[in-house]
Amino acid sequence: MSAATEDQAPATSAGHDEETEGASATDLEKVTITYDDVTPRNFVLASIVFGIVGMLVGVIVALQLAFWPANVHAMLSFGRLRPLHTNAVIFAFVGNMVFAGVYHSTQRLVKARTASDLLSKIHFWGWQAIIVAAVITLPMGFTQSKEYAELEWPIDIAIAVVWVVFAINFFWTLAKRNEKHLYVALWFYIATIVTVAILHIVNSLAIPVTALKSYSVYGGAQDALVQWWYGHNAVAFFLTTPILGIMYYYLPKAANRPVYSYRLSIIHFWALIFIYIWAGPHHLLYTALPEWAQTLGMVFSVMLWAPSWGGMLNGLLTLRGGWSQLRTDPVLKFFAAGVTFYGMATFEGPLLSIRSVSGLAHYTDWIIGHVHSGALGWNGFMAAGMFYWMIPRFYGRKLWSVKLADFHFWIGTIGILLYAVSMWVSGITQGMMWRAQNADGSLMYPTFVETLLAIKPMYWMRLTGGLMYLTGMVTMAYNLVRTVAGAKMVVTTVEVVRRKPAPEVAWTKLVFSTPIILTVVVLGLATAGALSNMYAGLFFTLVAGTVAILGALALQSAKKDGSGGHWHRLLEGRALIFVVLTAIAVLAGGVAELVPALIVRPAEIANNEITPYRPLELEGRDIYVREGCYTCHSQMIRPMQFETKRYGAPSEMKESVYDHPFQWGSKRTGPDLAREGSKYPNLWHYRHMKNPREITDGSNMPPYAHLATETLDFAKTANKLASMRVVGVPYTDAQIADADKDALAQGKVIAADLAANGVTVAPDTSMVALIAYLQRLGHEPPKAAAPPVAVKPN
Amino acid sequence: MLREFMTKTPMLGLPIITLFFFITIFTTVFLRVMLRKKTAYAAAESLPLDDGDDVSRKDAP
Repeated sequence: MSAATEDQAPATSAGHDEETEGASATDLEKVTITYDDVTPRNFVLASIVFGIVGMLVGVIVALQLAFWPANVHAMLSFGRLRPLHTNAVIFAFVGNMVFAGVYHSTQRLVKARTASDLLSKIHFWGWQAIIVAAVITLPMGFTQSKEYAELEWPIDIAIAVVWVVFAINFFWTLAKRNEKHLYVALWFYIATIVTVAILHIVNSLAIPVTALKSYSVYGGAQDALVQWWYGHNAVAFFLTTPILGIMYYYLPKAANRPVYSYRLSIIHFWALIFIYIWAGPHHLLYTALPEWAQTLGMVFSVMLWAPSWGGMLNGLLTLRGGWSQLRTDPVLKFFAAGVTFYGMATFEGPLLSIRSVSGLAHYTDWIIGHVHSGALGWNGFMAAGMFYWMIPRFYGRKLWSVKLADFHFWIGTIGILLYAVSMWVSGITQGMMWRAQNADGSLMYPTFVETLLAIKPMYWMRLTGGLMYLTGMVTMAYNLVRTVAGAKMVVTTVEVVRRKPAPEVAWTKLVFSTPIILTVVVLGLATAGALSNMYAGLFFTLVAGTVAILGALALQSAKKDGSGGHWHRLLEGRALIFVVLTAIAVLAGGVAELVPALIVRPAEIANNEITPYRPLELEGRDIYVREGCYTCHSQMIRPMQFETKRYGAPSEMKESVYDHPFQWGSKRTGPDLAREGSKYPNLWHYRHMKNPREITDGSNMPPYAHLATETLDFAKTANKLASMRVVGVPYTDAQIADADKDALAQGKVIAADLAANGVTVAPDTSMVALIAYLQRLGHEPPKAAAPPVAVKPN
Repeated sequence: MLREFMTKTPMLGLPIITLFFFITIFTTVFLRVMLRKKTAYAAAESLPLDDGDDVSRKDAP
């Protein structure tokens, strides 16, 4: 059944009041706009399909953690599936949902059809092709091992190209818009497009080794800083800002009332995008990252509380006076719960960023619970609300079953709560058990697996919660399929009254406007204050503050007497300048945080005390990366007594300087491996990888017996060393030329040792290479035995 | 303390300058926005409700 008929007149919508008021009839024209709803519809379908797939993989990896035999095949082991789960949910489920919302709402907010149907199609099919490429390559072990940026270099390039296509289409649509004012949702979309492009390109810089293998240009602490600058901002600018844009459009739409405070939305936007970009280093507290960077990350993370809650309250208060609608409207129910989960997640995030809290929570399941309350509650519920709102309208039908949508809501909510609570309990249990000490200072739980066994029930509870949430997703898919069954899409057309194109406001008027000049003056004085001695600094700071306050009052006074302009309104009408200012706000934090750390040369950090990996060790490291060992093992010992007692001396920055990419990890399902070298004999590692339960009863590590028969081609090793030299690892020409011989020689030593203990394994196998790597961790070879190191790479 | 911090590398001044940059911008935007009357934003905030959707749809050919 169609909700509208053929002969219905298109709605007439005037542009913004201030656009048309006072204009004579000859200045105005009427244009008819037909929206492209096929593109957002396709993105919705892709989001639902990949959402179910991604969450199903999530349920499988949750099962693997609780029940290790679920690792049924090498390609389907936890280490390879976990990146597939995170990528599928972030980029396939949420990504497609975001694109659907952006394409759908942007057209309506700017009263113009998307600029190019062709670019929309390229964007849609290009993005789906990237997802399929991820589904194929990640289980095959092609990974960069950088969390949420695992995809290898050809796919990274494809992502950049498709993102540029999206950006062109979006900004082209803005350029031909019929509504001068850029509504707040569009600002968040602009910030997303600009920032994700910057993050992706900077973090993905790598030197290709083969068609599907590369080494990051950054190493050690520098790579860690860049990765978590990216990683946290993937959360910020892929999972948060576009969803906030969606909230600012669809929540007022569904509640049929304007956003609670537009003023708050302006403050919310600028504060959020500026502060968020700094927060990355809170993932690296107590690590070997420079302390100033850790402090910056923590301070800005705590500051995030304010804008995050500003946005959350703005969303919830939009429903003021209309709460009764929640009883009957599943769309509002999902939106209200989604925004509430956003508030909870953004309260918990800054809390976890406080050093002392991080000391307990880092590497534990608490972080997993935090991430999922955001992903399932905020992203998942906002997506569901938007789908339930959109799909019936696309087909001019009512939702097939409101009761089924209610069932989805409640089973999803209970699923999230089970998930979050189990991970809180599990995480705090882990953190407390790791640090528990006896009266004599010895560890109360010296065997790591004790902590794993203690949280096993929580892993089953988490699995139950995940299954319930997945059930809700499947229910939604069924409900929406029944809603559209047998129906045709409707075409939405509007007539827009707009002012005929007039000369734009000169960009100089904006750039040299009073607020900008005032800002530059205050900034200059503040900088002078920061760089001067105490008295002069105090003087400059006071002058800066005085100028800022008096200037703001003068601006306001000028506005009241009619001489001041609506500066932010002018800005919102000029998309290009808005984009530039947004980019500056984002880049300010990125540059200021990254540059001081990145200008230090690796050789300075190494200080001639660190020897690069031998060829076989490098091969072993590649196996470690391929199998996703970093998803369960960290390589970063924090300077805490309970850590040093368990693992050894705190990790230093120089120790990982030649690690491209770094392998510090973010989670300890198994113990830290930073000083694993020489801790156990080769035979121990062989037996442990062949069958972890034979060494550690109760372990949930997948078996890696297949590594013992998997042969490596050492002819390719020289190319790996050469690539490493390009990114700053000081291998000599001789080392590169003899890489294959050296790898085989070291392999033979390990194979001979294993043979002496009754195990026959070829020296050129993945198992031997991995043992070589593990035995090297935290164990610098004696200088005399170490191969010569070049002073400086070419 | 600041000068001691800066002696390690002048580049460490960047985060501090940027922090001032943020505080200045934030204060400016905050004062600018909050001192304006709420009614000044009425037209802008009604944009999502003014897009003519739900009214003018017709079946696709």
